[in-house]
Amino acid sequence: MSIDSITEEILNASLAGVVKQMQEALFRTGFSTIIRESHDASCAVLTSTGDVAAQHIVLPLHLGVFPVSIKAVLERYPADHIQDGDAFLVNHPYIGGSPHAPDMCVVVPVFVDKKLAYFTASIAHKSDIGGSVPGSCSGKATDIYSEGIHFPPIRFVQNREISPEIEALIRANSRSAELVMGDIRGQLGCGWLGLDRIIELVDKYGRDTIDGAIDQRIVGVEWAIRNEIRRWTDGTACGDRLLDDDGVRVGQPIKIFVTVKKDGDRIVFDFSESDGQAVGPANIRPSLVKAACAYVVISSLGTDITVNQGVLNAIEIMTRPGSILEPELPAPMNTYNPTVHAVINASFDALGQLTEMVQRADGSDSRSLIFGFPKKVGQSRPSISYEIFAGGSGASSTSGGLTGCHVNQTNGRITPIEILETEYPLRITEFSVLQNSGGQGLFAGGDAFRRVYQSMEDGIHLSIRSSRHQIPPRGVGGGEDGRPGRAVLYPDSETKILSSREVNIPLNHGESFVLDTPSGGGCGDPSELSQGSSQVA
Amino acid sequence: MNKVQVAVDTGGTFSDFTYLDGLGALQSFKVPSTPTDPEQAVIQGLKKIVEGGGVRPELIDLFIHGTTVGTNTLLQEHGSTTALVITEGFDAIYEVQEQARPYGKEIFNIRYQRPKLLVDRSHVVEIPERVGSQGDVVREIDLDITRERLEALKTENISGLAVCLLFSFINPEHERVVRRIAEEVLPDVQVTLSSEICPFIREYYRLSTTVINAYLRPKMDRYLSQLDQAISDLGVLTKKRYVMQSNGGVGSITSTADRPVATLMSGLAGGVMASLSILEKAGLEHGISFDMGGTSCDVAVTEGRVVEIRDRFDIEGRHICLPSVQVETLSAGGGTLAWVDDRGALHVGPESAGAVPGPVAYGRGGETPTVTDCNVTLGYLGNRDEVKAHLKLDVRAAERAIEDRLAKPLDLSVESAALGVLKVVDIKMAEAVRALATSKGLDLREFTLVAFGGAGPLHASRIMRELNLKQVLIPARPGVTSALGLLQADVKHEFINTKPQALLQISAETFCHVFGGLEQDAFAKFDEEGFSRSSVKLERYMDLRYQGQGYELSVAVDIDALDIQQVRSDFDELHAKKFGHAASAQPVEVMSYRVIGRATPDRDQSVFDVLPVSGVSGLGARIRSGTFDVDGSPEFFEMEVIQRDMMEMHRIYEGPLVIEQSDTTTLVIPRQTAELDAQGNIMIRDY
Repeated sequence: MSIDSITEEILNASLAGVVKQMQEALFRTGFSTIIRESHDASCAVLTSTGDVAAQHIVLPLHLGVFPVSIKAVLERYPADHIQDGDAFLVNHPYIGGSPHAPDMCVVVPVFVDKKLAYFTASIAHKSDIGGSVPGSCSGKATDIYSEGIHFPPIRFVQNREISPEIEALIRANSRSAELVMGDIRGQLGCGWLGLDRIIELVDKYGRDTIDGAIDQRIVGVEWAIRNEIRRWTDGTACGDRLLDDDGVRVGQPIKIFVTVKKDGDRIVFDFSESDGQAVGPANIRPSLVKAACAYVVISSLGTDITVNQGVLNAIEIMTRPGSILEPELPAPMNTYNPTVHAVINASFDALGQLTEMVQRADGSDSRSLIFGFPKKVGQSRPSISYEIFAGGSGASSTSGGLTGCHVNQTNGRITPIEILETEYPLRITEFSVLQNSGGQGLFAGGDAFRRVYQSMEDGIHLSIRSSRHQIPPRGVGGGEDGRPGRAVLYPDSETKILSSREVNIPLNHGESFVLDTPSGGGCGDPSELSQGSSQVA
Repeated sequence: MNKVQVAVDTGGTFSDFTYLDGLGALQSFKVPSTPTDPEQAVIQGLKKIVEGGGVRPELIDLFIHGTTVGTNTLLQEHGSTTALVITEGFDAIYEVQEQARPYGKEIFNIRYQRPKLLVDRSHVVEIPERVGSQGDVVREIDLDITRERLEALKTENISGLAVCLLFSFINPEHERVVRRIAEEVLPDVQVTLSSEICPFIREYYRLSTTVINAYLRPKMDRYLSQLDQAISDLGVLTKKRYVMQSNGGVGSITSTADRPVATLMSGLAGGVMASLSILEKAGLEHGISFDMGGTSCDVAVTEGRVVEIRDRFDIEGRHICLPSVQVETLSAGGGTLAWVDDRGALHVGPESAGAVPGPVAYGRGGETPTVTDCNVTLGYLGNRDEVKAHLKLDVRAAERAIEDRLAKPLDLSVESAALGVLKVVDIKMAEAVRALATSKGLDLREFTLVAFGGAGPLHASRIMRELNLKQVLIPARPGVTSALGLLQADVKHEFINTKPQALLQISAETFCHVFGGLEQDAFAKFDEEGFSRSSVKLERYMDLRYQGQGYELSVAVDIDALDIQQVRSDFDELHAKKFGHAASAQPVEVMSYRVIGRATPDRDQSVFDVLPVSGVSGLGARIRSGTFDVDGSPEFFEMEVIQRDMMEMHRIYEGPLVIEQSDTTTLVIPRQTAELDAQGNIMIRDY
């Protein structure tokens, strides 16, 4: 059904509103701070075949995750087996599309005239789903079985009631069952809210009109992207990046390699020459690779476009079975972010050779730092602090990088020192800018920062999942590389350099730990900087 | 003779003056704003009241001002050279900020830049000191080094100094020491302490707020003291001179000069507070304040006559942690542009034609059709008698632009294209209201849309239908509603003591001691402003959270002695209401104690009591043709165009109908009625 342009715009504005409303509801009713304050969750409306009709961008990777999760549901439960009032749960990276198992996807089917017509869905990170370490993400894991409980697509709700058996199963497998169930309920609530809104729209406009508007917008977005791609130079270009290691085979770098082939309005990102699957948790699934490439393409367009299935349809990716980007079960994947950063950075490099797009040096990827504190009398469980850090961002051909700022797909906020010290037996003795640490260039890379922790109690353990401690963020166009990161234990006594991924390192009263994040790469030849004119990052 | 009350709401282009004259009549006029010398417009307007309006200056009893001086200085980065004093070893707090990019399109921007730092790296002074999380001194402040480092600023031409040390919200002593030394070493520099401007936990937000205050203060101080002097020079005697604050209350001119960061939402707060007063007067509980102008639209939801206050907000990427009315601003206004891209898809906004070139119909060189042009083309906006003099609408030009740029490429009639643009912009505004309501868990069916601003009354009737709201209320003077809100505001001051502790461990002594101290501070502050103890109303709040949560909820504690059970159950209940669930088994922590004080400047008449005169029906009515959307297709109607001051009270007027008045035009669509109520509001309802 062909829809006039005004109706198309009205319905797409309405669907964007529905998703925004779902998002507000989820942020509001989510139980854990991960949803309520870190906002590690996103929502979408999808077609009956699992194409993304509308998504509110909080986390760009989820664009690729939703369709795979829905298609997994449909594979297990054909449309005529799905009932109104059902809801599904899936968090399996191999069968669904979750980046790692803590990211649980809740899927609600929407029925119109007794026919399956749409899905509303949300993905939210769970605080703990079991596995070998609190938080379920061990940087030393060697299979997904040590990364917590995995659900292939399961019908866990019928007639809008959560199955008590499944709830009991989830509760028995989490160190923070209340938070996990509270968040799942929040996700269900937001799915049902989306359902009600869609039904209102159907009553007003009719399903055919809505479907027509969605299809037209998906085609339109694909058309707009291909139209831009057509302007880029035809040809082949390559890019690569190295990861420090996978956390298990310490000191053995892993290569991500991409060949971008561009012909007319067609673009293929071929990763077949990347390294084989990792023993440690550095693997990612092709759905994430595609979302990462979609991120690169959207960023390269430089225009504001609707993010829907059309973005995914406009690009093609190739991965090699058994590689780090298409691993085989049960290769672990909890530390997926550094690999995604490498995919994005390598792809930017290759694309930069084909378009007028601004050059951009690497940023510092992202890292998490976890402190586990001994259980106190009267506490039901040991407490954990979880922090996410960026480092310097990369310079571009028009501006310097920023001090301590996320790039690419990650965007977690920093935890205030005053909150950390108030809640945990820790003291931060330094949080300083490593001034002028950014890679030199016509535009300098963003500076790194240092965070120094001192333990105020015995028996604290720290775990870190970082990257770029061996291989620095790369400069571009003659700009220098950034400085690698560093994790140092006991700086005051028998100084010990840690690798970028460590699990359960003990820290006793008075002992310190230093984290230097990496700094961003520079852009352009620094010698072009004329004397006297200073380019300040 | 009654006392005279004067409100001045300074906007980007015009300053609105509203005053209750000595005879109890409400007067209003506009004066062009003077952005380079902002006090000039205010003084000019006051002169007009005193000299032109024949008001004796000594009769002026109340002066309230909504200002954008602070906001504009910040947006244009025209503040003064500022230095920052921090704890040694912690310079990353200022530079790293939140470490994140804002949501939405910036995530895809590979050239993302933060707003420029207001303090240069070379003006950041680190001093040896450290306070711990219990307020304990971990490292004594080194006085010699502090003095030495502050002295180094002498040659740097600094006029503002921000001081933000770790944990100063619990123990402010070191910050006070820095101020003492700074006052000796840098006598001409104005010092802002974080422990005074916003004594809250979370170092970055506190620091950012302190820096902004220090950056704005010299300019704001100069502005307000010149204004204060000029008012006195006019012969005005009253000391009741106030400035609207972001939190919806007013503060004295002198205290505002020290706290300019608290005025950043001054302009928006007036509208929300006005809408609240109007609802209260009309006996209504729940409302949506809807202020639509030329480039943007400000929306706020007030439930049960309470305006939602948020603890933190940002302006163009700069963070401020001070209480502010919760307002959402959308890029949707009369000047919002509509165009068709090369794929044939329609786009409406967010770009705006602004004042120049403006809508096509204004004939100032605009070529791209705007929302206003659609309203003109459909017959909703016509040449009002008052407008004719300086601005004649070119209806034909608007139609032509819509035809060439929208209708032809979309293969639609001119009317369908114009209706489509309005529908898109209405849906966007309606979705913003829905998201706001959802984020608070509200059901909108009992809500009244209070519509004002130049374009609000033109769009309200369709938005109400889209959202299935109860009704629309168009206040008597939509063009100056924000200024009226100023006259209605109370003086409001907030006092905070941050003292994290488990709820169960709080002793009755601590409770009494902390609140007692805050109340002493409150009475002292109000006393300074001329309010006696008996005229001040104090409310006590505790900011609580479940252990492990990152943010707190303020729970009212209307009790003299501590009742932990009661506080606990009130918190659980509030949490369930706001977030849909409670965790009654989870331990609760208090983060801070809060006292909010209010005092009402005595006024012998409320501006909302002043009724516009009701007229004689039929007089001045004209007939115009208008096009409306009926079940998805355009239909032509012959509709009446009436003058608001000719409306008869309590008569039911049927839509479609256009109601004109000097400052706005109200549209009533088919299958709606309009009625002028006893307070002079137009009520629009579906039937």
